[in-house]
Amino acid sequence: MKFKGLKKVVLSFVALLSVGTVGTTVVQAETVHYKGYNVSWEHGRTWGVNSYSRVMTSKFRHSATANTTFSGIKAPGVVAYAQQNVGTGTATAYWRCY
Amino acid sequence: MNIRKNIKFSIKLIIVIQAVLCLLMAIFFLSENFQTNVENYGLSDESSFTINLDNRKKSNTEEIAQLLLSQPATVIKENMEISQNSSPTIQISVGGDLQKAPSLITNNVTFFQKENLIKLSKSSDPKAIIGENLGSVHSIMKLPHILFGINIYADKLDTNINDNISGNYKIVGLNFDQQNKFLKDLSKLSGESVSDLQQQKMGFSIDNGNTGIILLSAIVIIAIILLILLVIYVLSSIKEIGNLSLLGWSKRDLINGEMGTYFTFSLYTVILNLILGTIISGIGLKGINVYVISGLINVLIVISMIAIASLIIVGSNILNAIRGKLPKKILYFFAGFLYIILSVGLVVTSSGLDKPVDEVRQNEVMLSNWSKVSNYETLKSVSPGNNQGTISGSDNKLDNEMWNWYKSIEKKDGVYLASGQYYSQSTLDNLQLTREKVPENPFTLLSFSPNYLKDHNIIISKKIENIAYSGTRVYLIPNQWSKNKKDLYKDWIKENDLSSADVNTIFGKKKKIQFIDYQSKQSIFTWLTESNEPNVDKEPVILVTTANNMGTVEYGSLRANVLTGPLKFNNAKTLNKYTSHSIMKKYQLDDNRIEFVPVKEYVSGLQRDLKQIIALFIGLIAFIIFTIALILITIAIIFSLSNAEFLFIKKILGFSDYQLYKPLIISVLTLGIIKLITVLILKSKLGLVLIPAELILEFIVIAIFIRLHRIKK
Repeated sequence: MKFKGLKKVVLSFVALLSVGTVGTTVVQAETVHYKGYNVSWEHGRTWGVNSYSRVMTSKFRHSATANTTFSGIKAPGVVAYAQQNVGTGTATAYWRCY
Repeated sequence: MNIRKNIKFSIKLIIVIQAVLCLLMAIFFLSENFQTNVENYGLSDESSFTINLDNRKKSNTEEIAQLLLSQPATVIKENMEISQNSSPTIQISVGGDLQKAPSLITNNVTFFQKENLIKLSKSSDPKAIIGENLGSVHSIMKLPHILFGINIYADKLDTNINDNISGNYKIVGLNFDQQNKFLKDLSKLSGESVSDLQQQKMGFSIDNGNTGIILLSAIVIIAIILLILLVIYVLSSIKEIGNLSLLGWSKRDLINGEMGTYFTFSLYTVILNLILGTIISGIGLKGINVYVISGLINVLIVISMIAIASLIIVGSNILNAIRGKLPKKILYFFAGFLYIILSVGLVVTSSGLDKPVDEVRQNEVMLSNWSKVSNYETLKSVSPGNNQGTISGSDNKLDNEMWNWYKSIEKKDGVYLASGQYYSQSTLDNLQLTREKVPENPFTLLSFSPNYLKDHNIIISKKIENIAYSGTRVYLIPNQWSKNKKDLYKDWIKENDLSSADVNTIFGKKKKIQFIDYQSKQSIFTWLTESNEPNVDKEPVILVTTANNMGTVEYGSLRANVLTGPLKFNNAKTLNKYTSHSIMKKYQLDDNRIEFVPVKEYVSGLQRDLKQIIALFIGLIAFIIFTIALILITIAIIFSLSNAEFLFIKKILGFSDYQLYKPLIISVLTLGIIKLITVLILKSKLGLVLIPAELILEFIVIAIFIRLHRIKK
């Protein structure tokens, strides 16, 4: 008899965690190099469904691409940011310097 | 007994499910490992090195190709192909002396080796490939496909090198002297310095994260279910445990007796994983180590869960057990543990919700600021089509096509270039770290086409317009700026525009810049999207942009499909006029399925995505709060049951409800305050509303519980 509460807890917890999965953010920040200078590149997924890429350098022109969304080329010092809703699909990200 | 049988069966079923999940996870890691090996193919050899060609001017293309392919070395070029819908494919093109080609191996599986590549190169079919791509008509050999793994195929570099010479090449098999000579020759032909050739200019990443995360959370959920089932199983045998201890069983014997069968059962799953893995992984028995390890990890998880559940046996009092009385301390522990985990979940989720809610609000503000241009058509999507290289950054074919198209329509009514860039104080401070001449005060730099200027009451003379059309970059500088400010600005612009301006326009060749003072009278709309950037500006710098005076930035940004991208049409009618199929075909853009949408639709698309995310979060939060309330009731039940006699006497003696349930109320309050402090530290606006609301709800639950309980008595 006393397990009823516990059982409810079990079920609730299972559901919670499966919903929680979608809320996860996977971020990968790395420093890549162009002509000997550091370029900061952050990419990954936000809220599980958006692929994004963020590129920044104060030295060169640069651009970011997330799947097929292209930020345009940005002047030095300005953030290049691209984001695309990909659902559960693969998130691809690119950086480029000019 | 029947219930216990059911529980036993459920536990075994869960162990099997968990084993399969562990297997899938292991194969997922294997596929990730494979992807890394593909990306690093050719780099493990000692003599290998990478060159990065950026031949956007297309000079000496054939000579460069000839030089590359005639080296006594294997030349490898990898390309990621991506489309809107399907998963990415990596194309591995190989050429040169294939006797030196390395093998592609992952976990003892050889995908291909030099003999296969030599056979490929000797094939009479110029489109011959190893592996599969868009059907297998040209495939001379099949490749194993690892479950969850990316698609790969190898083809001949000599047949596709001339399509796009730019990109990263891996050269395997040259000695030190040969390397030096090769780099010098290549530098001469391509016009790039040796050090430039060796510098990476772009990179990509493929993230299959969702599969991994979903599998991992499934394993966590299943492990928790296993634990809870084991706990229920132990609790249901509590009387038996009491009797057996009376007969002299030690606690170790008891744990062995109750739990040993599950441990033995989990050992069988190693064999299950071995068989299942061989069938589904795509590499058969060669992944045997992976399958066995995944089975052993499953055994390890089972052992851990058994150990935690055994705490009940270790902590139970024999006398209580005989009477079938539950060990309340351990139940408190389990319930309290879940309560705390969920509380942490609530705090994290409510602070996570802040960002999408903020973004929705920001987009609404933006949309009202942008009301005048909400019907303008903006670029929404561009398919890679035949221009994979441009998407991945190795060529600029698509940029050229876009530019040719834009040049043909730039003087038509309603065709605009309009974009803005705000240089905030922090941006300028950052720039100052790497440069000497940087403007001191924040300003907005707008890029407008002559058409846009004319239609928006920013009048420039015909003469200036023509200067811009003929390829000189024309900057309009606000009259009210001081001379110093103007000079500093001009120096900075010159440095910016003239550094490595190798773009295929008249400006790219002549490199002429002209500054013209203008008297700004009105607030000019800036096309900026961020909330911390000005929506209108009275004294912006304006670059009069034409196809001929574009620099690298403008040229390469024509295909930008973000809201801040420059290409706009004033309405759908104009758009349709200049994007007809015949026009797109003429400029080779028909394969790119270019799609424009009105600005307001673009923003409402963003809003839709965000609102979905918010709905998900709200559902999650409601669920957590509901579960917390349930756990609270469970704790209250345990408390009132295990202290029933004590509470009854106190009640008779005239203690108030608050005094009776003081420990419970104090614990909830303390945890509530901790949660509140946490959201304060995290600066979560929503948390500040949600946590007090949740606390009030918890007290209501306690009050209702006490009231109901009192009536019973």
